[in-house]
Amino acid sequence: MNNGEREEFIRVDGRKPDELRKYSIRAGILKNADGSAEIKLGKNWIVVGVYGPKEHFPKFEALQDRAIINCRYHMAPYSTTERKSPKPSRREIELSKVIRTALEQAVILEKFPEMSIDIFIEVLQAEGSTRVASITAASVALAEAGIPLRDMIVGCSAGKVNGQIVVDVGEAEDKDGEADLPIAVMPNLKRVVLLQMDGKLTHEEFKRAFEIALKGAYELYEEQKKALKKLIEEMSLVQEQEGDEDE
Amino acid sequence: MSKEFKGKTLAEILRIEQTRNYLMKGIREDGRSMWDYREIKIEVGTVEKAFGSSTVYLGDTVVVTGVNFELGTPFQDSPDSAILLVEGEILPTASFEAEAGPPDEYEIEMSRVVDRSLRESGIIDFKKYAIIPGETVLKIFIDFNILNDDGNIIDAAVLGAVSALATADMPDINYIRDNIDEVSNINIKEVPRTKFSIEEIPIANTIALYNGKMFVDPTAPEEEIANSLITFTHLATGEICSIQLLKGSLSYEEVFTALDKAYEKSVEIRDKLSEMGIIKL
Amino acid sequence: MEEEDKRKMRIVTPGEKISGRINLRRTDNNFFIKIGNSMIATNLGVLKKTGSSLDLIPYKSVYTPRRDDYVIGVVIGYAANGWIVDIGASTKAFLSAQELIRWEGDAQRFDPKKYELSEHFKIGDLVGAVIIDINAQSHPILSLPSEKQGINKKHLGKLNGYFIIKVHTTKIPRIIGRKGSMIKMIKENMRGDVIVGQNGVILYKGNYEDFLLLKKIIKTIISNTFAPGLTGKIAQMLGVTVTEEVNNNRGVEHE
Repeated sequence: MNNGEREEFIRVDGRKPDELRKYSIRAGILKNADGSAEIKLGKNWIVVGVYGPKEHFPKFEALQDRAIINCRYHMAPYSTTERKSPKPSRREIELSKVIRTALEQAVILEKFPEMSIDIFIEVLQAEGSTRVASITAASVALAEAGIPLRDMIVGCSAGKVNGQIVVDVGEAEDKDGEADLPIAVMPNLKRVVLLQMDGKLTHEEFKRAFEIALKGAYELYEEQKKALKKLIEEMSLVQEQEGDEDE
Repeated sequence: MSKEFKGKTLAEILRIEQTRNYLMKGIREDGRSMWDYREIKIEVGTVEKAFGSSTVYLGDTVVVTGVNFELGTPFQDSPDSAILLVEGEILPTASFEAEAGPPDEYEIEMSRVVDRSLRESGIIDFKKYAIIPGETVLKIFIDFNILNDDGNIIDAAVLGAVSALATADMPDINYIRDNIDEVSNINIKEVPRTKFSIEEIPIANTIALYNGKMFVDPTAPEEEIANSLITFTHLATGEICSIQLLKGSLSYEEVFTALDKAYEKSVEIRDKLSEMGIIKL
Repeated sequence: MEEEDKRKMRIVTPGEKISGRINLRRTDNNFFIKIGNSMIATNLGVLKKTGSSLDLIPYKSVYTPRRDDYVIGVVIGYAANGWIVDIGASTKAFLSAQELIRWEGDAQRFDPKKYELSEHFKIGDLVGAVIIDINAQSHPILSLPSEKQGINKKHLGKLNGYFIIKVHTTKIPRIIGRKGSMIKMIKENMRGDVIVGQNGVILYKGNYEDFLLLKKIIKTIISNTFAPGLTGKIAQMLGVTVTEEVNNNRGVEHE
């Protein structure tokens, strides 16, 4: 790939290589859950509910020094182009696991020994990169629940489509593309908590894909903060001053 | 532990106790009368990928419904009839008690009551969608999910299904019939579309009884303490197309009082759907 | 005063680095974690300067029952020698029959064969009690103090005939107010009896219309937790004129 003069690569949906799809994040949208959030990213529509910390049963399975996280990533039958059976697929089980192990890095589990925290991710409409969108929403739901976190977790994908490295891979791009790279990070601690790759990339391509995904993640991190701060602003009757810091 | 409190949070237990006190006095937690429904808000087309969809808010109960179509082979005993599959799930986000996993007996009962309310209503003209009788018919999937459960999920789910169907697109049956070989090889969502038309408007109404007091549209704590729960589904013609006694028992007289009240409410809600522009009366 | 509030209020989200003196004395209300040499906020909340150190007032936090908390719970089951009480914490609390016997002024020992637990507290009864200990399995142990400042004897033991409001425990400090000023104003201006449990349960004994007003007041407080001038608004709802000092109350200290 030459970085010399070339025409701007336009993607199937008209986006530039480093352009995210339209996104929005809302926190506190479910009444019963202890914490909840919703993310829309392109046509993706994902709702997350968190319950806990609560007593873990059976008791003998509980951990003495920390909480256990249960995480379920689940897609609604109408969420995909072809109707999907509500029974969990192997893909959903794998995604539940990688999302769980990522979120475990941020939750301060030691504060809640013998407890468990349940995280339920419901994909109501899927359009590519659902796992990173889910984890981004799950992090907001955990924060909304008041569960202490070391850092937020935010995810974004990158891919190689038609030889070009792009950010935030859509469904069509994922299907026809050469590589798909979902990542999730703790943005302040600057650590990676989810990293998978599917397809073929050279080291150079991986580096560029990683960087472009990282940039996308930080953009979504701003949206996470906005969604959370809004909760407090709505209780303040006073807007927070920009740039006002105690540092 | 008392069965009523099992799997409930303190907030839910307190709500149950409070509701008990209120109903004894003939009043309700949110100030409603015994015969008022909570605020109903319906958004359609919320899941664009599906042929039809809706999000129904009945008070704090939230249901998302998606309608999908596929081509399939008909059942042997009804070769010229389209196939309807209705499946619902209470998501684990819906309440502290709700669990992830295969549907339990309440979820299955809920799905089947909603199924019968639709199947028997005539909302879908099954014969119309037998594309090649004996060979290829339309398979209609109605899937719904309860995102937040504050009671009366059946009424909400039937509203969700009706709203999703009433505003749904569908693959053009005539096009499919004329191009059956080509269509069998492509994604049905890429076939040219027409609007789905509904032939009836079933409305489900759930009535609860507590200590002889009858009321409609129970919230979660009201369902919990109710001695009995019964759902009637009415059509625009006034006929009943589904009945389910969900809990407890009713005197013979109570059955008919509840029936009359349910019918009254079904008319009101059907009018509301028309006002919202979701259906045409 | 409003300008000063704006300047001093900073909203933080989990993971943000905080510089300044952190009040680590209050370990139970501590929403910071030290990572390397940095102090990191662990919760969504508002950073406020109290004197020369910083506190984080959380949007929501997990309820941690503490010793000396006055709580209002519901009896949800019977154990061999007492009652299992749900106080809305991650573990259930326990009230021993012996403790009730002692509090009622009886010297006798608890005899499981003669003592019928359900005759004293039934499942579904509301109980007011004080947490005296958290046992090895993290269960709060409840007591009925004979003499305790601030706890009315009528607010201990079985509580009958009250209207109930349940709020998130994080809101209780705001409902109580700095040095109890908010709840004092509410109690003084409501005709009935208002009881507040640290575990987020508020009870009211009085007529229904007054209860509706109290519900509205509580709802206003919890929807405007971080607003300056909230005290003035509540005073208005109670029909009370309030002094400048009270109106500037922006503290959310724990009682």
